[in-house]
Amino acid sequence: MAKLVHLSVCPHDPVLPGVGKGPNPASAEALRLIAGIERMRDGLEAAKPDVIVMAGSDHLCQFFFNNMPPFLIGKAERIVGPPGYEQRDWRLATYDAPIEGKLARYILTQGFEYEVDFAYSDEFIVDHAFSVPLNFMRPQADIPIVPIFLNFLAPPVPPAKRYHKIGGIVRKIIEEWPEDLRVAVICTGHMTNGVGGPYMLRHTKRPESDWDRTINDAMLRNDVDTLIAHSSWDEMYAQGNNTPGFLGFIFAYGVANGAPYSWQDYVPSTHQPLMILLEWTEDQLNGGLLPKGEGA
Amino acid sequence: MSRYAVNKVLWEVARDDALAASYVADPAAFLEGRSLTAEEHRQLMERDFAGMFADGAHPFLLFTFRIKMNGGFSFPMMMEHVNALAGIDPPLDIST
Repeated sequence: MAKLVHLSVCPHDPVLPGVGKGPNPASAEALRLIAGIERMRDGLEAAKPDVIVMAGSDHLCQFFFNNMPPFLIGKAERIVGPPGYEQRDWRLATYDAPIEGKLARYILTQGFEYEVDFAYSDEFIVDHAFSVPLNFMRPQADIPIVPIFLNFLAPPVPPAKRYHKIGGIVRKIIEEWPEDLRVAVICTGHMTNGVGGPYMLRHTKRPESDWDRTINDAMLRNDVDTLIAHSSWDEMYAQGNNTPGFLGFIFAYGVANGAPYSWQDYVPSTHQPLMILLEWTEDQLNGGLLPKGEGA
Repeated sequence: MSRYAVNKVLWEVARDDALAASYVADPAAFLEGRSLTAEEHRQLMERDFAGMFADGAHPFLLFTFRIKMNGGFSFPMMMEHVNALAGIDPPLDIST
């Protein structure tokens, strides 16, 4: 049977890959995030995964209001992106890796058995939500991926409890997969984030909101009920138009199935939107040694 | 109100270079036959970003549309966008 050996939440801010590479000096917080992501990348490497399941969003790159999947399994031959306009606007690198089609189809069809009606696609592109975390976490692009698209950008979206539930079901399906493989799950999402709207630069004066503090406090206690309670579209959207991306974290907590994280970093900054890094190790995901709230 | 039709124009222009070129060359022709109110038509003819935002156009889509019209991302363009939207109480319901 397959085993879950790593779980992390890695940001996909398209500015992060350029940190320290341009003419401007990097902020201390940006360097802290890069160092934290390197730590998680080392954690992924040490976990020796055979497959990576990656859950992220589409930023109205290809999915549109004419046909909008809440949850979609990608089962093309390869995962490739981001599209040309994102590479041009943000100078982002391509990610191009094989897709583990057998596991993708297994999650899809077992999902149906467990009453999750995933959409699926055999032809798609991924945007920076996938390419940035994957280039950070596995730049070699040598491990096959199963992409899962979560809609957290185009309302209406399902309630947060569904993202949590489906995260749990995806884990259950992974663990029921008959092949003896080691599986990592990488998720991505947002904290308070207003990119594109009037709150886009609010972090320059107010690096963290009351909502961010509430979320962080709940994470420190591994209080998943509180995380879900503060993840309605309306409450998140009021913080800034991309904040519902927090649903990616909620999905990760579903995958964790109650296990407290192994490591977390909460990084408010006047230089960039607030970001959180989260990692669960193999031990922590499979019985764990640390009691609730002592993961940090 | 036909928010879907507005979002669709923003989406086509932001994502497709050829469609963006035809919108810039002749916006009236580009908008012809679409299910837009007179006000939405005016907003798209005049690139009234604030007006579209206030009426519930998708903010991320609107911003990528503006990036496309700007010929790419720039800090001054971002400042201008934030300032243009600053006085508006953001509509919480942007569903189509």
